[in-house]
Amino acid sequence: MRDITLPQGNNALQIVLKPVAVVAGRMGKWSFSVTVAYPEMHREHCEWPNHTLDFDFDLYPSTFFMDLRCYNDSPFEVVAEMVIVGSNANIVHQPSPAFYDPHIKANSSNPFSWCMTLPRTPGDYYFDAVLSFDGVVVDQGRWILRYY
Amino acid sequence: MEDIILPEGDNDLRIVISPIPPPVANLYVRVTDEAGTPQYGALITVNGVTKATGFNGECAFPELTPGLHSGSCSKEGYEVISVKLNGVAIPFSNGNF
Repeated sequence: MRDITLPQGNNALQIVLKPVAVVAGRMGKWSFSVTVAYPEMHREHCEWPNHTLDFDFDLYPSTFFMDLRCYNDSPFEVVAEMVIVGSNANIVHQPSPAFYDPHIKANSSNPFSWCMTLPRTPGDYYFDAVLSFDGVVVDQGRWILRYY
Repeated sequence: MEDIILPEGDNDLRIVISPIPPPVANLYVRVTDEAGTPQYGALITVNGVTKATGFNGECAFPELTPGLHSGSCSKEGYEVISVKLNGVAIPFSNGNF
């Protein structure tokens, strides 16, 4: 263990990482989809290079049900983790625990659905997702839905 | 030193004091890859306290004591290639700094 000297006040520590694990060949088909059934909710854009993002949305009163579909053709277990946060303070920052499984498992024959309740509060909804194989994060991305 | 003039008779002198807060050092950590993409789930340990970075690649260790500290960064499948404190590169080895 080395030492760093922190002066009084605010300090910024910037760390740069480089991937070392090669998981080529493990990736099956990994997709999200969003179908916006709520007319005021617009798909803004996604930050997910190299992968298709599709979300399926069905609207219920005051509730969005989201299907998070994950398909994997490889024999390796896929673990997807999803976190939803909002830029608006009135937006629920975490799904109800009753609907939230931080490590949803799926395979090609068992795409999973994942649902949560959001208030109809205008603002930006951020959908962050992480895909990992055997504990190694191989992909992560973000959808931004702007409700106004 | 200021001077006070005490008149004849009884005088009441009241003084209010408040503690001087000890100096603190706040450490704000940001972890990215080489392309500058924030890295989620990196484990940062400072003086034995471990925190994970969020989706913005950030975590914070507020109100540390100024001075020497030890730290480390790890994320499965990744290696640390650069560590900068306040913009200045600092030595590291196997993720320890």
